[in-house]
Amino acid sequence: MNILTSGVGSEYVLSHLSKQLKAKGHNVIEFDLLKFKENPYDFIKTLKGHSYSYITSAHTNLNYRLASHISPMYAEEYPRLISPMEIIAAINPNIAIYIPHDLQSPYGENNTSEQDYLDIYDYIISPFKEDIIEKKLKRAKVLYGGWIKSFKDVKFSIKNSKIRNVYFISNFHFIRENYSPSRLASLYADIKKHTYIKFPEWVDVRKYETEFIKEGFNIVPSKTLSTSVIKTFDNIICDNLGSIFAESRYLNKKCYFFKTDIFMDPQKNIINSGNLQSNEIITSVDFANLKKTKPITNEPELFNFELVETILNSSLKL
Amino acid sequence: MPLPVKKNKITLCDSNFIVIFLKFLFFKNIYYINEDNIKKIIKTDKKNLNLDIVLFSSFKQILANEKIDLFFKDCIKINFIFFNDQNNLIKIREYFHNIGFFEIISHNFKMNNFFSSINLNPHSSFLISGDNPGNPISSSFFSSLKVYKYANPNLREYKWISHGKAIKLDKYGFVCSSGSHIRKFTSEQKNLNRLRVSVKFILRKNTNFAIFFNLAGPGKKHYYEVRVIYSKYPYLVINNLQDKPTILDKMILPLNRTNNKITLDFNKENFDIFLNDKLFINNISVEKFNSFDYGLEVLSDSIMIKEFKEEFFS
Repeated sequence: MNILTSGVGSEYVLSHLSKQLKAKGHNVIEFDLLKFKENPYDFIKTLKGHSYSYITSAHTNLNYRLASHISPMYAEEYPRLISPMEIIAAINPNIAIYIPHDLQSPYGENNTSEQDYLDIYDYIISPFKEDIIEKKLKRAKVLYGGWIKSFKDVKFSIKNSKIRNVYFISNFHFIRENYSPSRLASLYADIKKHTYIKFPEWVDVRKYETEFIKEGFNIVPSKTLSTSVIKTFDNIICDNLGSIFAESRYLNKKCYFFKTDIFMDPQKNIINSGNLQSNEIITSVDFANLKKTKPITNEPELFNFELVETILNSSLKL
Repeated sequence: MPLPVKKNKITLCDSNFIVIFLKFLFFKNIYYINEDNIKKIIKTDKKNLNLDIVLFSSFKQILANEKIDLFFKDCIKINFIFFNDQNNLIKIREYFHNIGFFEIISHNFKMNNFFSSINLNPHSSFLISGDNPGNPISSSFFSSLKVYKYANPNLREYKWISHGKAIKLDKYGFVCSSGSHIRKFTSEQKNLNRLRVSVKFILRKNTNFAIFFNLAGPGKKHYYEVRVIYSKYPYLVINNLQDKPTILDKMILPLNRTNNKITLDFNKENFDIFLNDKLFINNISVEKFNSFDYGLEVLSDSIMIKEFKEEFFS
């Protein structure tokens, strides 16, 4: 079976699924727009009329044009951005499946209104057993498959096993525009001994990782799957109320919000929103004192990869 | 499991003669429409329609029926062919985006240019891109408009992206450009260092507008913007590239009255600007013109952009 999977950078969460489908003998093309350097429109045109099945984890209607309006910086970084809607309309796949890349807002933010177009898919593989999105859809079928990033993966090994904290840096746009790698490393000097640091997989992140390693920080490579990192460490720390928080909760791990002057402006609204309990907010001095949280009592369910293959095979019978 | 786009194709036409002719050729699913019988068609037809509408009169006639929204909402694709000038293209776009259609493509056969608008947010506004800057307000004789529930299957990259209404009537009733217009280069066009751009426009009265070269890229966060006030006093502003750019610095530059030319020399980069009935910008600096956009932002409602000319010089 010909299968096309698509997504963008850290929002492309289908590589493990693609690997499994390839192992089963399917012809899988992975279309990650962060890595793709040619004209995406020309590429998609070559797939027309070749009977493809399509799986995506990208925002349904987010293309370069829309991004240039709602987030010019995102558009600047992804000038080849093409939306799943355009791909589906162009190649008319045998079947179209959407697997969300984000637990916090799996069906996009309000500014894209992508929920209005989810009916273009045949199936949505939901991370939630009861998903309210089902009521809004007329055509697409919503099936529970679990969280796509939750699977039996290769264990992530830590060199410095005494450190049980990991800090996920987010707001990378903000960092890149405001702090050079050396400046950022100096601002994080006081937490250096107490935590591993993980940057998001994003454009230009390698420069920051290199500088941090040079300065003696413990770094988790940005390309490492966030779920395997969350499973490995005891305390999860992040500076945004986003997907890492949601993933940690999904995986039954304690997550802390790091209040820091580095993100003074972006963090103001989060702290004032009332969505965080006071014991969830920490500062740099608390890093050394974070205690090990309780071990996982209920092992989270793994993503149901067989479900995807069953759906794909069923499309051939129609 | 194919998408429900292929079936239920029907054609509507507001000319009885053409309906008879088409029925003779294609036998079925062709209906004559007018204000009176459209209700009957709404009741009898199916869902997920792929609809062709051939109009010899105005689109307003179709919209006169109150229940037409429900009919259109069940369509996946609506293809209009206009045999009459439609002077309300923007309103038609607004209408279909408001009832949840994602993309609308207009093709002007006379000018042979395409414009595509996509929904920014249902029930609010849309974003248009096209072969030229702007947003056509009217169509020519024999032009087409394709309305897609989801997206256009004929993938196409457009040169220009326009933000805002893109075109409007000023208080004197003149058609004017409005909003911001960004030129987007395809990923293959790398030879932008030898690009020369000239812009022709009509000024209705003294006005403000700006043209900018975006030099931003990894490691750079500025773009250069030439802003013209009352068409006499240009000045250079350096904008910090944020979602909402802020002016960091600006300087008013003298205009040479003899040749209507102004030379900007900032940070070892030179721009020549000629001010007359056309604006000419020559970016001598090579590598700094990364691979991104230049654009024209119209700040007032009294300028009509007539032509953009791009030349690659040796």
